[in-house]
Amino acid sequence: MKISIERGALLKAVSQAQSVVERRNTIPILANVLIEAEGDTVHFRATDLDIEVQDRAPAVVERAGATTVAATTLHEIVRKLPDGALVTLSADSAAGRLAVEAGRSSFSLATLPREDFPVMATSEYQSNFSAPAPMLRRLFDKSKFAISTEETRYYLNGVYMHVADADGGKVLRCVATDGHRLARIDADLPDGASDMPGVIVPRKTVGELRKLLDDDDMKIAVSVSETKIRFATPDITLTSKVIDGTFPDYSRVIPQNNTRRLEVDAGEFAQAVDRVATVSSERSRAVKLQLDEDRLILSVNAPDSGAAEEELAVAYGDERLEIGFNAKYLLEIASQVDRENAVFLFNSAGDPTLMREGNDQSAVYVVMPMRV
Amino acid sequence: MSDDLPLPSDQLAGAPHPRETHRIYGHHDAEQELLGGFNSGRLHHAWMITGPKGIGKATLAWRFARFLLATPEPETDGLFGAPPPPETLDIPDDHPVARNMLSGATPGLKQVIRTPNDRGVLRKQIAVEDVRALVPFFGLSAAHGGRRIVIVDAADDMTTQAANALLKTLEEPPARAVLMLITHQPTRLLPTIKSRCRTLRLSTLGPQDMARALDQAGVAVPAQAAGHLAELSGGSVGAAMQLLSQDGLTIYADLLALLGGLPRLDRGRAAALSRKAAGREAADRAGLILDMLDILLARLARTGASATPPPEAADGESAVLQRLSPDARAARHWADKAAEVSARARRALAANLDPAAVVLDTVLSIEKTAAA
Repeated sequence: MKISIERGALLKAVSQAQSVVERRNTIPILANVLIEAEGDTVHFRATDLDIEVQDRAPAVVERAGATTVAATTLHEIVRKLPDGALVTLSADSAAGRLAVEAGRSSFSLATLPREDFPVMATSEYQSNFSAPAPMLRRLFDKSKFAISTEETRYYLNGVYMHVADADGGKVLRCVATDGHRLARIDADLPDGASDMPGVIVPRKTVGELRKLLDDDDMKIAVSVSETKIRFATPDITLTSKVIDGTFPDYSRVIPQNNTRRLEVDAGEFAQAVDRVATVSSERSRAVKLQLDEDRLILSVNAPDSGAAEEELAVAYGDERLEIGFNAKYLLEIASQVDRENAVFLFNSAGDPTLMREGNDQSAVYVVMPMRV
Repeated sequence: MSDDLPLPSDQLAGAPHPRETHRIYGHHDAEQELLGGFNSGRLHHAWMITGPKGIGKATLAWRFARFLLATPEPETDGLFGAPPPPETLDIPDDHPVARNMLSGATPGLKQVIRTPNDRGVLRKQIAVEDVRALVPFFGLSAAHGGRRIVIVDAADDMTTQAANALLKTLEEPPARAVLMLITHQPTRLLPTIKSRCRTLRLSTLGPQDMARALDQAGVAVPAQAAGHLAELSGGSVGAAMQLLSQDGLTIYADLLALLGGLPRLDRGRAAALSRKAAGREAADRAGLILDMLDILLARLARTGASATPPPEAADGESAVLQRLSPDARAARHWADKAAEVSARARRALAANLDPAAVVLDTVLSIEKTAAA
């Protein structure tokens, strides 16, 4: 294999691929990126056995072929090369080396045979559709904070993406929960997605996917089967296993009859919560909300460290209510609100509370209260 | 690159890793049993492979894993009916699954072996964390055609907590999962584990199979040592390789020479022997010396009981055996000693006493017996 490629294109392709490579890795081949050159393109492929990323970049291919080389080392080399340099990669399979040359620098890297590289088996996808990047970005960005990190309930370690019935017909819905809070985000159902099987997208995949979604004009091709999910842009293909489990029936825990309505500016609310939570004990991080006619008092009373109180002018017309929450959970859901006021719907101090943005039903958050 | 790393706990010193061994000798019946299970379409999900150390239990487990991952599920509803069922577990060396297995990167397969603790020291047992690592493995969808395989090597090493953690998976295995438990001493496993597994009993190898297996591993057996080796290894390829790589035959000859001098023990020789077990890197050697001593004592007992010495395992062995153990009374004496010495020495090693001191102490205690 021998190819010449522009440094910028190489860096972009390699950095995307190397990010899935696990840092603490005991299997040599999994630390490597597979380089395949053919026609006028070169493909870079990396995997951790659960996720596979494949990048393509234009290159001048003098000799087609394939090899694998340590992903982080190659990435570091390319990153340190001057911008605009032309990089030549040539593999010597007999010696097991890959020569990297650019200007006056030359490197020789150890390779492993391409046959040892585990390529994820292609499966048949039941559903293929195309979704705009901003839509997927919203679905995953607004839900991923609620993903559980607890490994025993592994089926909560991801975002449940599925087709659901909403008031206005079928929607593409993402749900994540850790048992204390829940996020339910809806988006218009893309054409061809109606027969998509519901899948739980693992947390690492959500993180890797985010890097594909920065370009607002990009259309992402999504393919889903019971066991795999694939997201593809023209240059990058991300294939991942999905979580093999049943997502709990979340609709049961979304309160329907919460009547006490609080409307507050999300930014001011978040800042106030953040301020008073400073004195809360490290473990509980509990904040008390006292609601009265158009008045909200946030307070923390930690016997060890001290007390704090802050008053906010809000819109609230119901009877008095005292309710406690974990400050971190409140901050996280408040930070999802970016356009309108945050609307909280309470029932009692012991029942789950619902939060949404204005009257927007397409993004709903539920948070469990704390006894304070 | 792997020269500096300690051997993984599922590899015997001087032997290739079981995944690197493609052929297996002498276990035709066991293979047919596994194959029969596969062809019947109702493969049991948990297998307990039992037998002495080093006879190919792990090799068989890896071989079956390779077969399962590389063989697609037979289609029974095809136009031409089902293809003929496979007749062997052989998978070509250049099959992608075989290649991936060699490089250690096999999606769809997970090993449970002893792992290093936080300080990088290999644990003596399989800890509960090692078993819990199966939760994320089974938590994600399967890679290769839906099969997921776990090899526990060796199940005897599991702590009680680890065994209990495995129980859940054994009771309710995910679809199309196969667990293979390798065990040298099945009686020591929890009855709850045993009752959920189908037992596959492997027997020791005959001389021909042994020679072929050693040949495959690329181990050259010096012609004059072949007979001695066959006697000492007791039909276990692993034991034979360990004897060869750690100079076990010489150790045995040394021990014999030492005991040959009884009832007066040559203190200089005893000290020289114990020095072989001194130092950190010789920890394995101490185990080997004690193993050899066990064998020697057992052979002494056997000689006395049957009044004829077994085929020689070292030059001039028969004469020594007959002199020290002339009758059944002496045989009983040696048998008692063997049990006592073995238990005492293992306890001492487990308590991290100096191996050299343990060896010396053991040899000296034998002198007392001989004197009695």
